Amino acid sequence: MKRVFLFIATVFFTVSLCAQSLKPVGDEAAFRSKMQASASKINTIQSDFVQNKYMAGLTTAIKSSGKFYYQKEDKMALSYTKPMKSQMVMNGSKMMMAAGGKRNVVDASSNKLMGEMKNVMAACFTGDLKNMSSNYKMEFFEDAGNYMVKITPKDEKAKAYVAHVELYLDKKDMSMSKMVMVQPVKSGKKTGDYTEYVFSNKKFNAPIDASNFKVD
Amino acid sequence: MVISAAASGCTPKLFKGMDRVGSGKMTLSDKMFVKVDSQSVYNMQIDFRENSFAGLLVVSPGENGSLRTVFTTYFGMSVFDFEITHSELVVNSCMEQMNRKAVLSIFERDFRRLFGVYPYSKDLCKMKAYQKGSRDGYKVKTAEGKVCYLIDNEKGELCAASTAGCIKGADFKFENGMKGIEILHKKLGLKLKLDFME
Repeated sequence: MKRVFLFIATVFFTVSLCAQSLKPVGDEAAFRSKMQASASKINTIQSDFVQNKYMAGLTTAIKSSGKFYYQKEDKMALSYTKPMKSQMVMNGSKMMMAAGGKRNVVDASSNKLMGEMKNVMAACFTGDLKNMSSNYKMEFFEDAGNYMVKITPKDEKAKAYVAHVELYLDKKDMSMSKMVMVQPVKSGKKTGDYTEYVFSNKKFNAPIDASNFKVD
Repeated sequence: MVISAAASGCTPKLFKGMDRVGSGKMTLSDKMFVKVDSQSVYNMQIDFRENSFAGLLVVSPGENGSLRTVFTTYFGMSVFDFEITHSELVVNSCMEQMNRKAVLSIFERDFRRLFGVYPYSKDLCKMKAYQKGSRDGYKVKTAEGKVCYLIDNEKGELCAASTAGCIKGADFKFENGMKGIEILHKKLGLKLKLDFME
């Protein structure tokens, strides 16, 4: 299968509905500033994550779990341990997917769309939105314990894959506690399928072994 | 099942070394399929020529004997989402690169044969029977063509199956109590490997 297909196949996820108690943030500029200030202090993130994919008609979510790693500015890795060992790594312009002893590496620098998607993914997983392009609309909400950033693609091609992404930031430390990606609603259905990532046991600015970001 | 003396004919490769013991008519038995009573998750690897792709296949029984099959990457993206009914394949979603009639028909045929979603499963089909030791073989003429089933009577389960055809033909292998499944389309250079997870 073509590398582009494989790359795009792993880029898009689904997002879920936001909580009913969330209200728009009063001072958006102040929130953006606070978020950026927090992101600027973070050089590395390590955490556990659980991925749950919810689809209409399936009795239970499709569950996966593993470890998440991030190193400023351009290294990110999802190392899955359950149900199968697999890995998705972004390092610079390269993106690597490995499973079952097989690896596929894609270079995003040669493709504008891929480059943009890589930036979006990095922004989504780290909460650092400064590299988000104007091709995405951002809205900001909050409840007692969390901020929520809703990212909606403007591009029609992107909209075919992702309806919107929700980033949930813990108000205590502005770290991302959850990310939800919602697929577009199909005709005849009431809601889109979605995938949520829940992050826990977060460690900030601890050294991360470079082997976690190896793509070659 | 009506058994009668059968005229000799070519022995399918799957039944090599087995004795032809009869012919007649039969309905397809539950042993010839992988039973899906509740939502099941398989690790599925697709090898197509030099390319390889893996993810999770979720199989879930639907209404009126239909089957929902959802294939996602490990990273959460849906590759395809089909509903296989007795009369049609309903494509809920499919990645553009795979959304081709030829590709969809391969998946439809393979999953129908594997999980037994057939419109004619209760009908009587012509068959030839083979036997060796604890193994029974059945070459069955179904509405979709001839299918060979090799059953291990000691374990009470299907160990292999094959369907005829240059392009449409496929070989099915089962192991580990039918939790390990391999579907090989030799002429196409396509292999699907399923391992039951939960």
